[in-house]
Amino acid sequence: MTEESDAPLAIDIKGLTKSYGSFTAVDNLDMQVGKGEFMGLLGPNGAGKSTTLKSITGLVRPTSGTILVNGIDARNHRKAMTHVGCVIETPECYHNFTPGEMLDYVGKIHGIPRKEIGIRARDVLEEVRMWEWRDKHIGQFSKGMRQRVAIAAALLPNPEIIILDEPTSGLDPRGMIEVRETLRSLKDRGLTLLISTHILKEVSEMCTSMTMINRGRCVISGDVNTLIHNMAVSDRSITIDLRTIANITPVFVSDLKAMPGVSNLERTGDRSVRFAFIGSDEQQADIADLVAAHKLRLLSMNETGADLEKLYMRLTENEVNVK
Amino acid sequence: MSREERRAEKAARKAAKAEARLGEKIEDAYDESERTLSHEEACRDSVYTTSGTLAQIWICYMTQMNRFTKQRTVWLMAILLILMPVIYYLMISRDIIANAEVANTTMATILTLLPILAALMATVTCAAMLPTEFNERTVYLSLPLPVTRGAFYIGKFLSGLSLAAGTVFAAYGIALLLSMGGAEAYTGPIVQSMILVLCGTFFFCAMTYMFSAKSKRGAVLKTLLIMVVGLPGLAMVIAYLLSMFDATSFSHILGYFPCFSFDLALLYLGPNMMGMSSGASLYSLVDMLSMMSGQQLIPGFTVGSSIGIMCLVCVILGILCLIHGNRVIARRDM
Repeated sequence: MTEESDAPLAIDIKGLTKSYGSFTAVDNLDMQVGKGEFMGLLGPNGAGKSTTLKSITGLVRPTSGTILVNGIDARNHRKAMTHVGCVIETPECYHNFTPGEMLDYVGKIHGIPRKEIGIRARDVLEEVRMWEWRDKHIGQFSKGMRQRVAIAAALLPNPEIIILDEPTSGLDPRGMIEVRETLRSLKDRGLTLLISTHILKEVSEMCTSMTMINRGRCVISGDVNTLIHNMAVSDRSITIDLRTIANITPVFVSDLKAMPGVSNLERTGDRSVRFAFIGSDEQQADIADLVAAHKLRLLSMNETGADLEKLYMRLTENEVNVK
Repeated sequence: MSREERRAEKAARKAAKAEARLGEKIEDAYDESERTLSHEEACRDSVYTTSGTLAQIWICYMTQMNRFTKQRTVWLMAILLILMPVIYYLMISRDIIANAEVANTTMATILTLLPILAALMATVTCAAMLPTEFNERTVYLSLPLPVTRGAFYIGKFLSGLSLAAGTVFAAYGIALLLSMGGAEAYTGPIVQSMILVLCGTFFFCAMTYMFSAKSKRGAVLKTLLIMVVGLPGLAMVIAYLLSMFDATSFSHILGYFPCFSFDLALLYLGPNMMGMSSGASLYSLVDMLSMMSGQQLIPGFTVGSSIGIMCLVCVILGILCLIHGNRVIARRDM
């Protein structure tokens, strides 16, 4: 392993600022992406997400701040981007090239040996389901197909880090699902992924961590589930739906009402109840023990009412800096 | 063992050695990682060495040449430029050709349109490359790759230059073939003329490319007008103003503006049989008007006479244009 790849962080941004004249697109942003992490970069339109990604990939020059990619200064562009694959701002491939020719160009720049380009090209085109289109001109493709070719180009050099700017933008539902499946498989391979997206579902379902930015500043950053849970706890807005195998007895209901933190209990079926809960994780676990003590056999206990959408709306409205 | 068999055996031994070296590299990468890397990752770390600057320039050059072969406009311009001497040859009278004392004169005549068409070829190849990358958004795929902007810039420029220069040389070659049928050719002036045309093409391409680096939409018409009308016009206007103050000695310097390089190249070949002293350009138009009116419209102004100085000026200014354009691209936010 190289010295650079021993760095604990895949991407380390400190004090990033980018100004276009009097307009500041990114304002003193700090952001860290650990190795193997799948981070979602959230924010409204014009928040500075694309500018941040462009700064990492060398498409714009930061006004100030430092960016390290695998421990290498991003200003040393060629070295920093060696093990990085990226799709920024809906790029286009050369219209009169075929996917094979496009990947040949990308592979040569990355220094992949000629024989191996053919093998890798086949692998990545099959992964994005574009192998049968390898000899057709890209100009004939739909937007979704071109997006997939761009993703294939990003995957070609077997990168350690993948940076994607709104990867499902403009795709039909099938295309979105396929891209998300591809991203999940990349996550399972232990790659570091950084995606910017508007789609909250993508972040809550796929990402392990997130950073939300608004007006060029970091608003919140951390583990997705922890952030959502903490917000819900502070809002006192957790609702728990509890389902059991056996029928719920009146005795259980009265015992449950007496548990600390439980309120507004209602029966939603013979084997399900819903209640509001404010308390610690230990107290939640005690409720599960109560179900076991009554021999009702717990089927599921889902926390609802706290979700990323509320967190997003709250933070982009008030611009609260919780970091 | 036959020669082919010995060659095949030698090639096989060489390939086996390369394979073994590669395998050792992969094993080393694997060991260094304490066996935590997958085989794919070990291959990547040991085998995928990002290309050096020269190699990347070559890759960008070849990729752009590949794109040129698929563009109809480029083919059309190249064919037009190559056929131009043939068309002109067929248009002019056989008597004029028969009376030419040397083949150089015939060449100069049938290459009359060279200044305009060469400028057009330079703008078609070099003016649209960079704006097209920005407008079609292909730059968002190319520039995040581990390639320096300088290599990207130079590689593309070299492809435009080689296409423009190759086409101009092909036109010269056809003109020479067409002219050889009759009188004798003086090869010395032909070679010098071709060297000057190469330097002039280099300048035209570099200047066009520099404008395109600064332009967002495309610079074909603008740069063509600057090269064919703007620069020569500016030189002649300054020369005219200088003549009003009796400072005609400085007019000789203006004659070395690189925009007159093609005019000088044709002048060096030989006098044009159609009565004009050089190719179809603003300078030759002014020259023709002077002849018709019987007096110098711009007193004391002529195209520079030294090919060496003209070549030097073209190359130096061309390099400065490239350096400036490279700086613009290096600082440009995408």
